[in-house]
Amino acid sequence: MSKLYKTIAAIVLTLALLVAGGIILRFVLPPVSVRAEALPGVTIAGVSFTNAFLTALVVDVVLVILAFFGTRKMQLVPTGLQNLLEWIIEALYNLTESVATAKWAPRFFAIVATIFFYVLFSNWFGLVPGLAAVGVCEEHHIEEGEEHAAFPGLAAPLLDHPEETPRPPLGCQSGEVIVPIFRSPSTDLNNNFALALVSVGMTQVFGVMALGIGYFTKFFNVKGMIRAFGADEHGQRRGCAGMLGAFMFGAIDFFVGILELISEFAKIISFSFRLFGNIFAGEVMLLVLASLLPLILTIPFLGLEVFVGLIQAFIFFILTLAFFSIATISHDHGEEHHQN
Amino acid sequence: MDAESVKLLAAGLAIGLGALGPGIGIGILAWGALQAIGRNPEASGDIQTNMFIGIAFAEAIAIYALVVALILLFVV
Repeated sequence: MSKLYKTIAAIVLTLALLVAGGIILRFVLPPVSVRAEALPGVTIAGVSFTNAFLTALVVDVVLVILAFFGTRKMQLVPTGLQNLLEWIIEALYNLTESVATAKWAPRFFAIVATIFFYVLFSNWFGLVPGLAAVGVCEEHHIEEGEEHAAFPGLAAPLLDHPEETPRPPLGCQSGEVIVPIFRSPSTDLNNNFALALVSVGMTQVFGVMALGIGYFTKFFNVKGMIRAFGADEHGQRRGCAGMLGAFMFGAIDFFVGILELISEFAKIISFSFRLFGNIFAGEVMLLVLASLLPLILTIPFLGLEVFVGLIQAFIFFILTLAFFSIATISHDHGEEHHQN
Repeated sequence: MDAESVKLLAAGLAIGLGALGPGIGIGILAWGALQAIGRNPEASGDIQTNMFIGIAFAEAIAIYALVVALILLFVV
């Protein structure tokens, strides 16, 4: 019987919290900005200082502090923070070694693991509750091109009747919006684009390190077309038809190489937009859910977003690693072996 | 319909239809990976890693749709 009472009490309490949350905590959906907002009054050499950049610096400092305290008193049998860090690093390193060869794994690991930790902490920084509310009040000037944007369907009912919207006790005056001081760097496309450039750029560097300048024959593959004019695999000169056929196959190889080159640029786009889309959409979803049902509905989705942040960091890590190890493997060997 | 509403509609359709294919693809990927893990649980680590790589490639298609939707909303 007491179990039944407990269940009823839990349901009543939940409903009461829902109603109270709906009445007391009137959540007004803030305007969503795809761009990272510039912090007012701070410029460095004429370039505005965005909140995402500030948060990126904070993430860097947090990582340095973690590494400093984790390695300050190194013990043979690790305890505490050192133990945790060693466990994570070891798991990542084992994964790196299983994907890349033993020769390349240490070189890849420095870059790939740095990306993992930076992306992970960037993703999680945006999920700290209450952080988005800390900010500077600023006049809401609608920029060109933004006036119909910023998710009009959601914001319109609030903007249409400004006299009906309740003023939050701690909020800004009407006509002003909060510019948050902190914003997850992953929700700024510039940050993700820079990471993607590092990832794809280092892929080329490692490719050249492993295969020399011949790495670029992957993109500009004229070998097959030139070979068509020489002797065939039995050392005999080709006839006219044979030469044409071999040349056509060479042309196909060349076209595949060009496609490879295009996909290298597509990698940059998909790297940066994957991270941006997932994290930005997650945060907007949390905001919208909080405006629908404050206090309760967001909590399970907050857990989901923690998981998504981890998965996105892992995907950035494993894809960069996979591209690195593909770039260092010569694909000519298989063909030559086949021909001999 | 004026240009604004067409733009909104187009952005919604772009991401909505663009997410269809990758959704099916990721479903197929996870289906295959789970079956493989069920048959050979010892290889689950390798399978998971490759599954994530495959999912990331399938997801990239949805991301192109997202890019198109964002361009429609904010740039065009």
